[in-house]
Amino acid sequence: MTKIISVAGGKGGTGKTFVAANLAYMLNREHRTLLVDVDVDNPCTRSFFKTRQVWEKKVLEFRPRINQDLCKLCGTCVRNCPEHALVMIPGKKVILVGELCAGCGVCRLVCPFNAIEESWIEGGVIRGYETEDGVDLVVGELQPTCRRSPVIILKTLNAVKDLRGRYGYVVMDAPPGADAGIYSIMDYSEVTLAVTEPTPLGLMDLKKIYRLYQKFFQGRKRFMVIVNKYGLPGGSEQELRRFLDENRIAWATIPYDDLIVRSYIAGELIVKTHPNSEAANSLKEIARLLEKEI
Amino acid sequence: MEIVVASGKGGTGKTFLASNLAILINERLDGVVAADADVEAPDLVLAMGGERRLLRSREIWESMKASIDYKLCNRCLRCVDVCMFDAIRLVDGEPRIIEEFCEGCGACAHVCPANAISFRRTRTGRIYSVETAAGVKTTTGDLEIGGRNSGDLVYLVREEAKEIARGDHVKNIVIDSAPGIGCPVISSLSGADLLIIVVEPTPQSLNGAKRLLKIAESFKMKVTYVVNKFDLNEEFLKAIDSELGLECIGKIPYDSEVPSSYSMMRPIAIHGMDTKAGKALKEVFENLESWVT
Repeated sequence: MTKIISVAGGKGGTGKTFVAANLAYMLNREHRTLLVDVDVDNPCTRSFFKTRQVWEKKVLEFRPRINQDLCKLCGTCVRNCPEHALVMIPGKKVILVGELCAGCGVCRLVCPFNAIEESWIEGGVIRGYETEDGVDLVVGELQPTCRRSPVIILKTLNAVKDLRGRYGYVVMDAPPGADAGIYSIMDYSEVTLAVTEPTPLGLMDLKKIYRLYQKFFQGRKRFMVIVNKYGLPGGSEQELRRFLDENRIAWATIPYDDLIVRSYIAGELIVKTHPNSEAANSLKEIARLLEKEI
Repeated sequence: MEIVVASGKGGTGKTFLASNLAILINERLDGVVAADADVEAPDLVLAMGGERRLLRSREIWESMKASIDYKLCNRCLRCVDVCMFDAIRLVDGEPRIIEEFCEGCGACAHVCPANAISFRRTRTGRIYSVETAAGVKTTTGDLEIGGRNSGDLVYLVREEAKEIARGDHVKNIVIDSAPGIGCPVISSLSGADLLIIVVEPTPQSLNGAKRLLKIAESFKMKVTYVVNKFDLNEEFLKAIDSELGLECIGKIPYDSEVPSSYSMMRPIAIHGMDTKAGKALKEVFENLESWVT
């Protein structure tokens, strides 16, 4: 059975990608592991690996094309567009404001004169890679100026559905936040690792993603916290620990360490380049915990 | 003038810069209203010392969700085919709405021959305005947990901030954007005047900045950038300069006083202008003045 782990965390920049990439590398030594980058707004996992692209799938998004010969300027599409992306220039024509269009296709369904033809733009792309380290990688990427990140996330998860049977573990690198996109990633996984940092902002955002877990998944999925940058100068570990203990959330730490910053900048996996560092040891401990717990 | 602080990648220091710039503009340029458009993780008020008093608060119920009346449904499944968002799935021969994915667009209802689909309003989130301990009036959007329509909420947050600014005869609004380049970010940028990109000297952050810049270019707005924690990797500054091709209004060094300032809820712009980060902030603010006035 494939075990699916998502690495999320509410706040940005807490170290999700760092944890996901190192974790995938370690798990892959015992069980074949697939790393999935679903931070579709700014996917960065590839910066840690030497990759070779194996496949590509485009995610197409509907856009109406108005056939001006058939259009009678009745305004039905304009009235029904939920995003107000269609604008009537009275007596002349209907125009589309592309940035507002969600691609729902309602305009085409309601047009009484079949004047709306379908066209498709590339809303995003999903690519599969092999890496030199043996971890396979799938990356979902939103096309800049397109806005439907949750749709690209969902399509990436669907693409993984057909592949996951080949792997012992699937590790997913989630975007920051706590919206419907994160919901679908947590829904897809057995355990969510929420990476946070010991600052009031880290705690505030952790609480939000924990509420998302409580609302939809408590009792049927697992939730664990990784406190990254533990010992950060000026950090607020105490409040964080109080929250974790009060809610009986399992947690582990990764120490604050310059070495992590340098590895991140260089695009190196710390568990590979500095396997005996304190940071690498704490990551190994987290991997062992996961292997034992799920 | 609406100034947006954004970054593409998360955790580069948007809230840090937005909060401190808002405080400086408020004190030195005839007032400001701040807007927290990071509706999935709103922290701006916290970064300005917390709430001193609540000005107003309202619930937003604008997210439409489809529901199926199974007594009327004839299981033709046209709705499943027509939904562009995979929000209607086939479960045991029946169409089932996955609410978290439903955009409320109405496509399913238009094709349903049995009129079995109706819509109800659900909670989009909350918008509230406070006066922060730092004295800056701040409007915050807080998206419903697991919610959609973050762009709509951002739009309403900006409208409320503008309304407060008009009432107070204040010209400048500072918007703290969500990370990424998706719906809430596009909503933050659309129609705004100036974008300040916060970038860290890492390839991952530069990548995010470049993706963000593509959107800013489509909006034809003014863009500048600030390098945060620039001394972590000084060799990389040249790459940032050449790849963004923008004017830089400041470089802020790594300073452990910054996380402390959050923990103690004592913003740098008020209590730490003599720190490394504070001095750099002052320079950013002074460079910004020529863009604002």
